[in-house]
Amino acid sequence: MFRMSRMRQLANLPSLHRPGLKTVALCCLLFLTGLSYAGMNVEFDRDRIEAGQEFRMFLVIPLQELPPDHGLPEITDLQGFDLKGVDSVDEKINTFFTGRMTVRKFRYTLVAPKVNGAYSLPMVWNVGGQQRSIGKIRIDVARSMDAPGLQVLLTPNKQNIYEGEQLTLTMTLLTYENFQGGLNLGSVDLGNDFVAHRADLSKLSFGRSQRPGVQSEVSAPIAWLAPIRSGALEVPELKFKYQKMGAPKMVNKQMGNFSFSSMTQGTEEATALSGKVRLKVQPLPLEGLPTQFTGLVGQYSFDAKVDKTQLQVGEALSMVITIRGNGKPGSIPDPVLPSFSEFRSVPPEADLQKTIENGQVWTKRTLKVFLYPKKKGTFTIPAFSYNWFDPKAKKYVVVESPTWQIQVEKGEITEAAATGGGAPLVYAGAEKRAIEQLGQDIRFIHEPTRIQNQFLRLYKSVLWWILLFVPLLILIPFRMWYSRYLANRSNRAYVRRERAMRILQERLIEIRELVANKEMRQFYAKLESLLIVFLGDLYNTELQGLTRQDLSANLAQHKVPAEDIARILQWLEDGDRARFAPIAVSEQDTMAILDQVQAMCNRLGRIVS
Amino acid sequence: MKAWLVILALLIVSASAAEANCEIQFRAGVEAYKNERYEESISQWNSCLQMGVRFGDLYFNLGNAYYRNGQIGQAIRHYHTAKKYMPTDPDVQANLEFAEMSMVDRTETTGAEENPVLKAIFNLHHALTVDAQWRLIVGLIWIFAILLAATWMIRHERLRFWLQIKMVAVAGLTGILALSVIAKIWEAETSSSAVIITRATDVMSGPGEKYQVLHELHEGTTVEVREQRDKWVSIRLGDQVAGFVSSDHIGMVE
Repeated sequence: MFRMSRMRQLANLPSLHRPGLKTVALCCLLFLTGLSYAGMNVEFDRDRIEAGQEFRMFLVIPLQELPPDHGLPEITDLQGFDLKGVDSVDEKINTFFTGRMTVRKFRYTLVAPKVNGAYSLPMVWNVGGQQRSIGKIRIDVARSMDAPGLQVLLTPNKQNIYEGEQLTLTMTLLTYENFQGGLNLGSVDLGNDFVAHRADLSKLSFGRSQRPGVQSEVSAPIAWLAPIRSGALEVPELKFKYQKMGAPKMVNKQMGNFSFSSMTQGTEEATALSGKVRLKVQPLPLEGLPTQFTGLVGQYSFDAKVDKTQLQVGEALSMVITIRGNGKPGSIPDPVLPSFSEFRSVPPEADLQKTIENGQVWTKRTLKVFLYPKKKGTFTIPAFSYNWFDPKAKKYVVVESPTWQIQVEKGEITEAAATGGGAPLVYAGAEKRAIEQLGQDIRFIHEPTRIQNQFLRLYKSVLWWILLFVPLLILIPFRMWYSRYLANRSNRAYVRRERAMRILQERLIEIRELVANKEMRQFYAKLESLLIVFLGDLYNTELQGLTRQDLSANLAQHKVPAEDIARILQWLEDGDRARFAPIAVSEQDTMAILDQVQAMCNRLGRIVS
Repeated sequence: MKAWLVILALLIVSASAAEANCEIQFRAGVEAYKNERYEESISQWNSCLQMGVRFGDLYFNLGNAYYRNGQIGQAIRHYHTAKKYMPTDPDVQANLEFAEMSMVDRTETTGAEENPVLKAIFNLHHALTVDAQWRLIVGLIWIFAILLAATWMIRHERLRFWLQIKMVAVAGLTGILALSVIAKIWEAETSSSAVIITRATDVMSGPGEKYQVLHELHEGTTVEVREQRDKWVSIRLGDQVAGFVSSDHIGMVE
């Protein structure tokens, strides 16, 4: 402001020497040039002043420009700043234009207010006994980096409500300059005292805020609640997570032999809580409480109508009941329907819809009841009522449906069929399949004659897996046996050997019968035939017609033991002798011979096998 | 060996005892049902299930009792189970359709197969239970084995040729049944379904009350079960609805 006082002095010069416009501009230019190296400056001890932070402000005046007889410059309106102290000190400083010079620094120790924003502090200076205004000093107070970047407010539209009455809970989010995004609402726990309809928050978008210090804000309903009990209730606080700019930190780094420090500032996760919402819930008045009160509180509408009052047996009439209101969100109990004694009915079709209108949740329930007259005549569908509590009027509302007189004529379908038959019914304007189903009932239970456990998971039974693989287990050895069998069948020696053993038994039986029948003459002939055929088959050789010598050599060739050969030859010789000189051989002896023959043949058969 | 025989005998005896006990409960349940004491009939028939006895008629009757008792969700659930045991029973199908007419939620069903060949294959695939198909496969494998053995033994060329034709036919039929069984077993082991048994339930975005409510489903709606976490079950219904419901609010289809 010294600069301004000089300008006034220049302006008070006599008119003869009063400068023209060009001269004034030139002087201003010179003056401004002079300002670059002279005049009062305001300095701060930091680049950023945060709310609630202590800092120092310096008024720097070149010593040569200090007016005589001056006091300390004063801040006339602190506007929330806290002045801790004022002093002054003289310093030598280097400037670009004037080089080294001595300045006086008036040092003000201040604490910034808690609310961030731009402040202009007016200052005055007592010079020569006169208080002179030296202008305003602008100080921008920023939000502290430690302060939250997000503020959450929960506001109900009503603090006092009735039990069951709907209230809107509005959420307001305020972001500050250190908010860095990453907003995430965790679980929304509205407690156990409310029935809630939660809003769709996916389309929330922030807008610029008019509030001081607030960067952006958004406000929207978060839920519509209806308390389920009376008393002092609380909505628990909401918890938001977000990213915010952290406070700057000095970090020391080492690179080889060099160490240096640098200022870093990164983002960090923070949590914002909304605070609890306290409500006072009044119980519903007992006066006028209807019997079978539905529990609904709010503005409701009730409508019931039938689509026809004249029909035939076999046709159906539909009663449509519509209830709509802004009480408990998503919950409208069904009305108590009268007894349709003259009609058959099926379980009604029900539909529930919720819509948001004028900031409230409106629930609409539609009930469709289909009724089938049992017989011809005129019948009455009695009225039925519905009720709710109106909190605005502070009284219970009971409404009734009309009473309907239904005229039923005899139809093409017999009454018996209509009450339980399977004839399809026709109902214009409705789905034909649905109507074919309607008017019938579920089929009766089953009564099986025998109770038997059924398995749905047979593949988990080991027994069935065994049964599955048993054929394979049998086939493989069968195939092996059969191949061996076929191979043996094509082996002549094998075949003859098998036949030899088989025929041996048969022949021995035959001979024994001969002996038993005392037909001794044939004994030796049969014995010789037995031995020749058996030995020939056993060794796959031809022994018929051989001399005893050749026979002996042949048998020896087939490695028949010598004593067996001798015995065979002996029996054959005895046979020859008996042919020409019959000898009376006792039955006992013949049986003994046969036993020996059998034993020897079996032994030889085993050896060959 | 003797020990195994004893164990096998005990198993057979205990199974027979369970069936005998179940028969008493079952008949008592039928009497209660006829006298419109539906809760009692439900209790009697459920005791059969607790004894480990399961058969299609039991589930069908339970469905009827639940329906009469006003529990549409339980009724539909038991009809679905009965359908697994008796896939071609017309009563089960009729009652299931009738009960589903009471549902609040309407789901779009895909159109029926128009191609007659595919339709026939589809009907064949679903005509038999896994149990019945398994038995058929075992029988066909035995027949195949006998035919194969006969082919080895018979010398007559023409007869062998016809036997081989029959073997190919049996093998083909066995293969088709096996594929069908494998598909059913895979489906049974990897997927399961459940029915909403409460009047209404919220489908949450996570396994807990504190998550966002995504949808609301009503009694009787059949959903696909994906996994279970503690008291919450991950479900899916078509392409639009997926989330978690409380396990107290749904009944699994066995």
